[in-house]
Amino acid sequence: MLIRGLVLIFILILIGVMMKEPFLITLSTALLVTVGVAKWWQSHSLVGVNYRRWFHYTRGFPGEQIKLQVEAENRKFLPISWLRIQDDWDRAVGPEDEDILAPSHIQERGYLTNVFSLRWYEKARRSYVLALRKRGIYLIGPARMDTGDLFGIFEKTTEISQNQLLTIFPTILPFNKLEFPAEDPFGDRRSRRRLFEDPNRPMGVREYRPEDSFRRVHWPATARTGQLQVKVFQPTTGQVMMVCMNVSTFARHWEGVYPELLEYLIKVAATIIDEGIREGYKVGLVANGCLAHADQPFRIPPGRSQQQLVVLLQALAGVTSVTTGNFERFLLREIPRVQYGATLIVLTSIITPELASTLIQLKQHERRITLYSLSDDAPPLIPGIQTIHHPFQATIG
Amino acid sequence: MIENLCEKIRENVQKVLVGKDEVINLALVGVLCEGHILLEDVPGIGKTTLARALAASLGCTFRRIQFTPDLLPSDVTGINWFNQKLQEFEFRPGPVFTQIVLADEINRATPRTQSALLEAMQEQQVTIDGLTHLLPRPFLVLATQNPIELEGTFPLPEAQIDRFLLRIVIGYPSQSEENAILERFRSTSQLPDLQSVTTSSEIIQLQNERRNIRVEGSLRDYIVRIARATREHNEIQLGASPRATLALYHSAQAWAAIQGRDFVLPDDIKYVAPYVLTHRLMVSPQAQLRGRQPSQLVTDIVDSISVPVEN
Repeated sequence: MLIRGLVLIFILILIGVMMKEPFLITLSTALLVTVGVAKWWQSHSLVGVNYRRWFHYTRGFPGEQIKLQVEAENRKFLPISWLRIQDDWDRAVGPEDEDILAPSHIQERGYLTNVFSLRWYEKARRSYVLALRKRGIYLIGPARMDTGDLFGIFEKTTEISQNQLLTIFPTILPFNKLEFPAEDPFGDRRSRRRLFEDPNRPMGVREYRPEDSFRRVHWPATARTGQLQVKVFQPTTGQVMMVCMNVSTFARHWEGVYPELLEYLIKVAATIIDEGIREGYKVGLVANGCLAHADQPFRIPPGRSQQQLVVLLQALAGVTSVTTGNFERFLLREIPRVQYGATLIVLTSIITPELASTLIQLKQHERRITLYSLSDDAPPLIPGIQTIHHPFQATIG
Repeated sequence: MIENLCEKIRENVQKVLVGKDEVINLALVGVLCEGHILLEDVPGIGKTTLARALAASLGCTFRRIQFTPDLLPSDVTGINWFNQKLQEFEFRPGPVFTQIVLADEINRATPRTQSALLEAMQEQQVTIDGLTHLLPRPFLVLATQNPIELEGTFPLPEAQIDRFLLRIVIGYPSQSEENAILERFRSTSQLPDLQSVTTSSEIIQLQNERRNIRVEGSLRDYIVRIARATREHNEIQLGASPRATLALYHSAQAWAAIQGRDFVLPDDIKYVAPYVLTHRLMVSPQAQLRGRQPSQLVTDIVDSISVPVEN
């Protein structure tokens, strides 16, 4: 196109020279200069152009809002007559006004389009309010940047692989809605306090007491202080809670998925985890569902920090209904890895005879288990296992 | 004088620590303010190398304390022991009696042992059995901790964290720097012995000179406004203490001196603020859950406060 245009201009100049027509020569020369300038402008237009997105929060709960600021900067002397930036955006985390997103060929996605005109060393910012609509982990980006010369002859496009993630956690329900027993909801806590100590995990020294074994004496510390000192170890049994979640909503996987039930199950798991961490438990999570873009179920070892709550909620935000095997086998494989003395909260919406026999088997191995069922039918009474039946239909009814 | 000497120290340290100009400059801010530094990074980044190289370059005595859960406060500060020959108590100083202390993996020790450093860090003295022992000057604690949460660690209490002037994250080297590391240390894994480029007395003189760096009244007010904003921010549970305000003031002076100026600019304050304030702030649990980091909050606060300009 450019070559053809240049050839045409040169022909015009030639004709002008042959016909000794100054107007034609001037016009075609001006055209040539314009094309040259436009081409040079196009080649330099995206040099030193930066684009940034800034989210006030990167995580939140459904129904919340997040402030977004997009910033385009031109770090050179050459001004940019127009700059269009299109961000690939998921509608679940789209602007409050849904019409702002331009339609995309991909379902549930759209384009956040911003057009700027920047002078030399100028910065421009736009602000949006994003509404968090649905649980999940959403990829924002990449962004496409288009610009061109002043005369609108040439355009230039580039893609900025500036991807960011926005996480929408599952909603946390009021804990009393889950109908756990008011006193010691996760089982008796007193019996698990500092029963055993792990000699491989020293946590300090203290003064000797008559009941201490001499094998625990810290001789270097004793020599330094002039008084008998003994080593103190970390307890092997703490308040540990493992939430085991069955993401299957039907007994047989080919029956499909009941999305509302799955979402409620995830909300219940999030609520139990939140309450567990508030109560000072070390909380972990295993689920037979895979995270998005993964082909394995996940296992998060117990922890009690504020960061642990983020990790667990993030896992629940990303969990899908895709399973890789049946829940009973998954439990038998995963539970032996869980610390002795931990309380297992088995969370399921389907109760099968296999699950009951698996729980009996685990109980025989001295596991403390609470079964939380969302199924329509009441689960069988299993001796020694605390059972809470909270049918999903009753919650929506 | 400060600028030239800092340049010499930087060049000397860079013989063993490739690149990292900014990190070395910030460590020099710590030296000039006689403030302590918390190095927070993953293993193998060069935290110990930096501490050793700095000590060697400054001509200061250096000791390393490996913090473990069974370390006692007396293992750090020293003890009075009974000398049977002389029939009297003698003081045996602990490793803290040195000019540069590397407190390696400080969060592995119990809070009781961590607290043994409190008096040393703030007042540059140690009190044992009612007797106060002064520490040598200059005195600088370089503490390291791994940011990845591990079982068996004890997070530093706020009182201790507040005593660190700066928190520095060294970060991975760039591709060219990593290439240069391989090139420089291809034949030997040992770091070369560094010669000192200055003396302890010169360092003390520099510290005194740093105190004379001019800070305009409007800039003092700017520092106070930043500190107060951290206390009033709704996403911050615990804001900057008056000690942090002082730390920001001194650090800005030191940074200006390293840049070769005898006066502070607003840019100096803006530059050092994240290093001085980030570790002292406690983000509210709700904001933390939603992904807010202390560093972002400091940046937001600094950006939101208008810089004093000349009329």
